[in-house]
Parts: sequence; structure tokens; C-alpha cells
Amino acid sequence: MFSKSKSGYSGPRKSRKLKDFGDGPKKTQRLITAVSIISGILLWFIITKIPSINTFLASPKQVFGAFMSETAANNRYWKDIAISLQRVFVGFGLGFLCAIPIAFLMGWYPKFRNLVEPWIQFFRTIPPIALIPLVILALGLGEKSKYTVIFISTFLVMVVTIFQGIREVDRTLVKAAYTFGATDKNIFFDIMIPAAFPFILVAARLGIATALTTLIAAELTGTTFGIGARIQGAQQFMNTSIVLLGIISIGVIGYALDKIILLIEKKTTRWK
Amino acid sequence: MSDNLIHIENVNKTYVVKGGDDVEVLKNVSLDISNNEFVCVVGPSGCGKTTLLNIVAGLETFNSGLVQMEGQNIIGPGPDRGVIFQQYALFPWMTVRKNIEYGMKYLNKYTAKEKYEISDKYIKMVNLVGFENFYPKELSGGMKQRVAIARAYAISPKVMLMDEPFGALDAQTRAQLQEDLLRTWEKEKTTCFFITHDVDEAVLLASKVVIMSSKPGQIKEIVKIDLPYPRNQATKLDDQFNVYKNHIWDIVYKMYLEVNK
Repeated sequence: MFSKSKSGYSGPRKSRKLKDFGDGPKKTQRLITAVSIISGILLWFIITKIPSINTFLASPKQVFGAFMSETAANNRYWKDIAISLQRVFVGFGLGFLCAIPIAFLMGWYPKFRNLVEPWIQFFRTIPPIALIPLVILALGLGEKSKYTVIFISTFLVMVVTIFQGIREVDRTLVKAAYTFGATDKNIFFDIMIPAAFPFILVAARLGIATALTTLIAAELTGTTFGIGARIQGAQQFMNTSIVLLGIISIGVIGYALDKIILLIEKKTTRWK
Repeated sequence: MSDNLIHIENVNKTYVVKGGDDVEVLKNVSLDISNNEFVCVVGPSGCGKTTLLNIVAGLETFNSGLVQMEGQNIIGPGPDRGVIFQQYALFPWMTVRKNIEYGMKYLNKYTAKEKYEISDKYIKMVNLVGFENFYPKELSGGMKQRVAIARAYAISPKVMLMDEPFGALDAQTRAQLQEDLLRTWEKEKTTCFFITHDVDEAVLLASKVVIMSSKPGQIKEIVKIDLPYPRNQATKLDDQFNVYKNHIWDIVYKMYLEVNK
């Protein structure tokens, strides 16, 4: 309900400050981001001064120390990062390469869609982590099982998003392309892929996030290398600084990969 | 016969409506279009004029009848017919120039340099010099339709099929594009098959106006417009123009009254 002013007319509305709709100046944006990061680290520094917290949460200094010791001598740190990244890229890459044509076929042939969609929707609801025991039984503890789990999880996430993108392609564009003599193959490469490209990039971002989640889950069992395995190992020795180092490393990797895709988006979808 | 470009004979098309009566979109439609003719089709919405254009474009099927171009059955879309859609149908990820060059891509006839030169020629024709590297989202509706027209002309089709191309534009832009289209047609003499619901537009542009009725979609009358070309907006002040206009309006309006009785 509207509240009534006792005196009836209460004069003109107080004028608000005029506001530009937009992100504001770049400089201000950067400054706020910097303040946010620095105060976050400061807060972390302060709370880890409390002994009861410090028993499970290592301080920035301790994490930095862990980073130095992990990169020194046998260079364990970079080996873990490299093997984890390899798992992410192989699994994600396979998922991406399969998701595009399958999504296209689903968007193009209703019969194919009816055939595969129930399965995709069904498996999509299952957390990929639940598949790990089965995949290990089938493929063993080696790299193949890691690639497979990441492939399945990223494929399912991406195929649904790309399918949505294919469906939203303006059919008039397809008709127009046909009038210029395009074949179905031309439609796929020259119309569908570029028109759905923004969706493909969104799918890639979701896929990367999913890949990292699945990666850590897959590495927590039966493997000696990789960030997940390192976290698991350090936990058993109560080495919280290495645990935290691993967690931060995953965050940094996820953030960096996401930024790379955003950069690609900025460069390629100026037309949007 | 040699002069006849498009031959439409007894074409029927029915949409099956689930749980309702079937809709006869086109019933026994017969029409011949000669080379260099400018044919406008007018009629109330739902009279099947767009369906007829799509059939000639090869983008829609029909139930019975004959649709031929130069004696060959039309079995699908092809670059011998340039199609202009009301919604422009420009590829948003391509610049103006890339859109126009795209039209020529599958002809496998031109080198990259030739495509560039041809696109230049048609960019000049539609007065878009300076906008070559703009994306469609940066253009107004009228400019977008100019690009679509340039793109269709660049493949040198035998006929231009235009489906209410100026329907979404404001009055001034529309008048300007009508004149531009007249100039182009007077010069290139590319046969035009033009759908509109605007009687003024039809009489101004056409050498022949086809009046269609709805439910079922049928050809009611064909009116030859004997106004000399070149024409422009001032042609609308001509007495003879108004005679044609009133005659066509009369038929269209009577149909409207009948349908809404």
C-alpha cells in the first residue's frame, strides 16, 4: 500500500542525482577491484593471527612459504599443475569437440533430438562424481579414467547450452543462406557456428568450471599427482598451508581460464 | 513463351490444422510473370501472398499445381532468385561488405578481388559508401534493407522476390527506398515480384498489380498499370494513378467487408 502524506500534497519529489547507465569510468572500476583484493588478503592475514583459526587456516605467509618449498628442490608444484591442466584440457577438449556437432544435430533433426535428449537430461542430473567408481572399475586408475569423467561432465554441460544457442539462431538467416545456394554443410560452418558462437563461448565457460570441479573429485582417489591429489596428501599430514596453496591454485587457474574465454568473446563478438 | 520467366499454374496449398478445419492458403492460383516485369501482389493479411512468394523462392512446398522458372520446375531455393525478407535477414556477425560478398560465395564464379569490386558497385548503388565496415546492429532499418537489396542484386538474379521489404520502415524512409528501387529497376530491368499490403506502393511501383483474396487465397483480379516510367513520388498526384488506386482499393475494401461481415 502507498502511505498517504498527512498534509496532502508534499511538494515536488526530491530530485535524485542524475545517473548515467553504464559501468562508470575504467579507472574507478580498477581501483575498487584493487581495494577489494587487498582488503581481502588483509582480512585473511588478520584472522589467521587467531590461534584457534590458524590451526586449520594457514596464514598468507605460511602459504607463500609452502609455495616456495613446493617449487624448490624437486619442483613438485609445477608437476602437479601441469598434470592437472593436461587432464582438464584433454577432457574438456573432447567434451567441446563432441558437444558442438551433437548440439547441432539435435537442433537440426527433431528425430535425433528425441532420440538423445532424454539420455542427456537424465545423465545431466547425476553428479559426475557419482560415476567415478564405475569409471575406475572400467578403465583403471590411470589417466584414461580422469579424461573420461571430465569428458562426460563437460560434454553434458556444454551440449545443452550449445543446443539452446543453435535453437535460437534466426531461421530467416538460414532461409537467406539457402537462397544464395548454401548446402547443409555450408549452413553448419557459415551460419550455425558463427550465429551460435556467443552461446558456444558461454558453454566453454561453464565447461571449464565443471572440468575443474570434476578434476579435483577425480584426483582425490587413487592417484599420486595432480592438485587434488596434493591437497588430499597434505591433509593427511595436517599440512594446511599446502592444502590452501592447492585450493588457491585451482582458483587462480579457473579465474585465468575464464578471463581468457572472456577475452576471446570480446575480440570475436563485437557484432553483438 | 520465350518472354515468360515464371509460370504458376493451378497451385493449391492447404495447411492441416489439428482439431480444426483445414486452411486453404492457396486455391487454383495461376500467374505468369514475364521478363522485366514489375509485379506487385496486394491483398489482406492471410491471403497467402507470402506463401506464394516462398513457393516461388523454393522455401515452401505446395500440394498440387505447377511452378516453373524458364520451363524448369522449381524444386528448391537457388541464386537465380534473389529474395528480400521483411526482417532484412542480414548476418549480424558480418559487416556490410561481408554480407554482400557472402551472397556471391557459393556461386564459385568470382575471385576475392572481383567480389570486392562487385560489392563496391552495389554499395554505391544503394548509397552506403562509408558504411562498408559497419555491422548490421549499427545501421538503421532503412540502411539494413539497402544492404539486403545490394546483397541480392550482387548475385545478378533473374528475378527479385521481395516480401513486404519496406513494411517495417517509417513513411519517409519507405518513400525514399521506393524511389531508389524504381531507379534501380528502371536501370537494371531485373524482374520484380513484390508483395505488399500497401495499395499506394503497389500502384507506384508495379507494371502489373495482382489482387488476392483471403480464405481461400485466390487471385481476384490482375490490373495492368499503364503509367509511364520513370516514376517517382510525384506520380501519386497523377489522375490516372488515383483511378488505379481507387479501383484496387475498392476491390480490397469490399473483400475486407465480406470477411468481417
